[in-house]
Amino acid sequence: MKVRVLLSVWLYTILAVICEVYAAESISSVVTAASVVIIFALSQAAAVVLFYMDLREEPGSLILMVIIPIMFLAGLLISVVASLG
Amino acid sequence: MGATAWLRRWVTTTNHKDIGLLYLFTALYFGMAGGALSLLIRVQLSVPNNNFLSAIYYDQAVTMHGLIMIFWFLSPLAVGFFNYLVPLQIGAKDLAFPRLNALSYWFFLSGGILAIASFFVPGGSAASGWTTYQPLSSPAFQPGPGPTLAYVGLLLLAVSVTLGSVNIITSILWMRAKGMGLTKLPMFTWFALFTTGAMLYAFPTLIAAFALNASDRIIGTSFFSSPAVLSIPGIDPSILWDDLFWFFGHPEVYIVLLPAFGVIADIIPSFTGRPLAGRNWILISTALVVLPLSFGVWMHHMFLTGIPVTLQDSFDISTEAISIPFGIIIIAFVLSLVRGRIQFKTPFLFVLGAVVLFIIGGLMGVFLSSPVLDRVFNGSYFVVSHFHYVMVGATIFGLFAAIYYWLPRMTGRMYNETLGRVHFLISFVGFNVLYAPMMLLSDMPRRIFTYPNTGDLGIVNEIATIGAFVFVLAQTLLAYNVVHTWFRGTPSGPNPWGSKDLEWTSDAEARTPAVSGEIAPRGGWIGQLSAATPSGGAGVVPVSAEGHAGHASIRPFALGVGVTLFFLGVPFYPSMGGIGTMVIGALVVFYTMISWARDDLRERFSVPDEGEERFPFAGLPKVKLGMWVFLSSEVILFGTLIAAYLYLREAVVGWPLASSIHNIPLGTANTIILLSSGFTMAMAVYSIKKGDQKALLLWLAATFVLGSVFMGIKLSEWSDLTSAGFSITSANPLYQLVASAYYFLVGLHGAHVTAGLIVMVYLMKKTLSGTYTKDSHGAIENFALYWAFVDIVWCFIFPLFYLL
Repeated sequence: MKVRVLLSVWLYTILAVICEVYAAESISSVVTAASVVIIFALSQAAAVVLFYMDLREEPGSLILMVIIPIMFLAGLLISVVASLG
Repeated sequence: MGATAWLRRWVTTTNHKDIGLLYLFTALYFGMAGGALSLLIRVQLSVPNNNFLSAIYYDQAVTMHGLIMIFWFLSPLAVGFFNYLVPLQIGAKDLAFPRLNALSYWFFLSGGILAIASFFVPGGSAASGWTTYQPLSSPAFQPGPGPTLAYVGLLLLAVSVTLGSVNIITSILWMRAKGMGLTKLPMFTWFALFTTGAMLYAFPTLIAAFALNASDRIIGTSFFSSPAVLSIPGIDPSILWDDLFWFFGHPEVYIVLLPAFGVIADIIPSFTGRPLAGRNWILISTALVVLPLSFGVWMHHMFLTGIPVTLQDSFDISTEAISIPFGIIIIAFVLSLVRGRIQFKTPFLFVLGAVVLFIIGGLMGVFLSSPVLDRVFNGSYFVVSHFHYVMVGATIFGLFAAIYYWLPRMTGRMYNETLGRVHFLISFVGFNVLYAPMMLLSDMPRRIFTYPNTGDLGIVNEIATIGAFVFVLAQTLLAYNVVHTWFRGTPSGPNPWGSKDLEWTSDAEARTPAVSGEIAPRGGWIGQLSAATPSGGAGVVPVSAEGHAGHASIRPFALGVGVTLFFLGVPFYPSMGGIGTMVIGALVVFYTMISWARDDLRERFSVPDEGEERFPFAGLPKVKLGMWVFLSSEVILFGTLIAAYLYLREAVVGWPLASSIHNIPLGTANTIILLSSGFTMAMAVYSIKKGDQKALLLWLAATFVLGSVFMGIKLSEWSDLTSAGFSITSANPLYQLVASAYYFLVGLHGAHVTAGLIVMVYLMKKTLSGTYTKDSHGAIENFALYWAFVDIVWCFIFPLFYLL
């Protein structure tokens, strides 16, 4: 992998942090702000997984192994919050 | 062998067979303890208005019976077989990480000792049922260090299971001998993979839940039941506990059950002379339906908690749906018997018993999936009967079949067949006399220490108690048969059942005089491999002589001792005795970790990489695969804690704004520092891939500095926050809850960062000695994965706690 790719990922993650802070402070709707912030957080995580952890170069079976717990977790998150009624 | 040598051998062993035997015998010991508790329970319930046990002792007996049987008997018994058999069945010399395997065992034993020791500690043992519902398991209802000790023992057990799962999964995926493709794996190994896969994703939730509970009990945080949290309007943390516990708890049912299914699938062909019917259907049903759905049915345990009706409906459907793949599996088992030349030997009888008991228990479960019927049956002895038929009947009978079936493989000797059949007959009768009457007790509440003399309650309970004694006492026949076989059994020959599986042909280690010479290598392979290669195993690499020389280490045991001492002290914190014990434990752990690292630096312990069939992970190094498997469990751990945080946050009206608590610019700067350390770590990997050792050292040092600065800022932030009154003892109850969530999650992340910093010192030392080269730098890559994961977790913690 080229250095400039790693550098770009680093710059993106930092830029995303700044965008998150800006969104949280400037968007008055809590739901919209939360959505924007979470999207940035997910994109940061994806960038780190794909480029720092090199998942994009790993076999598909490993990608599946990473996706499975995330799916379970999504189910847990949704159901836990939904159980509030 | 002298006593000292004998002791040294067992304490330092990392051999998978030894560890397997340790698991098996320890699990049987815990099974006896749990069985003894069950007799106490049944004596108490044998007649109405009995006072043999007081209410609190009854509650403790019920709770510890459940915990011991599920966590220290049923699952570990299966794990013992996994340890012993999986490497043999896949043609490996050992599991992927032998020392980690030994460590898992010592943690399992330590957890069990702590849990049982809790009976003798002030406050007594845990008494809130194996589900440890909140607020029953809170200090308000169960004060004293005793219950805490039981819970931290369980926490240690959960850590052990997670480590063990990583090991077995990696072994099956990576350590297979040439020719042992996934399609040729023995069924028992397939089910070991399914079971450990479920463990990997289920147990981190248990760790998260019990860590929060322990934090409440020891440090005084306010997650579940402190007066402060209960005074906040709109919050019901007991529902949160139910969510977390049952997200683990329902998959746990399958974790306990699936190994028995693997045993059944392996044993049936040996005693019918026919291959297993519908092998692929069984595998597909389990992998694609049972396992995913096992994580999607847990709320049927919560139908009466007031969860929304739409949720009840969806979990009703998913619960009923999960019975379909089990129907397919059972039909496949039954079809396998058709036109077979059945030999009614003891293992087969137990298999038959397991299938019959599972069908009975499974049918009862279908009733419980309905929210309407659940209102009638919930909390009654009908439920007790149901889950004992499934979890105990099917599982225990399946695992007893495994004991008889593989005893000749372990000892080279044959058990007493007549005694085995008598054991089966009495066990089967005793079990049904114990649990069938409970089907009639749908109006008798469980977990109550006595009952009035009304209706048929007395006579039905009396019959159940007689069944309990028959069933428990029948197990002395098993104990006698095993011991007699071990020392005086007649030679069994190398493959007494004519099995087609690999474990019967691989060479036997001359482990005990009983084994020596009894089972010899026969060369080549049979069974599924020879079926694929009729010429006699061409293309298959046979397992050579056991390569366990120099394969011993005292470190796992020492680490187990240190951790036991540490956890023993935890419930007594902040007393001097508690702190002293924790400090001694921590010192032992620290010293052992240093020694462990030194062993590696001096290459005192090495396990050769092996295994040539690695599909579908062919290009991946072993440790890297293990790291990914481990990190996938960490995803669940942190995700569960974040889910708990979101639940609390959503439940509370008026949650304070982050900006009113935290210094946002400082938090942002610190986030940038940590993310930068992710970049420097990636550059470290990049450098060594180019073969630049000097650059590697520089980038590692940069990562270390950035990580240290991150932690330094974090500590100063904590100091400022506590000075400003933001602590778990804040005057405002809401702030107690907010502070609890913040300090716990950020603290756990900080602990991960700190552990990473310690490992980094080790990596830098190895870099200085020139260990890592362009072609050999696996440790750097693996650590980079861990460090990147720590970054990712912060990517979510920062916005959740500092921005929203």
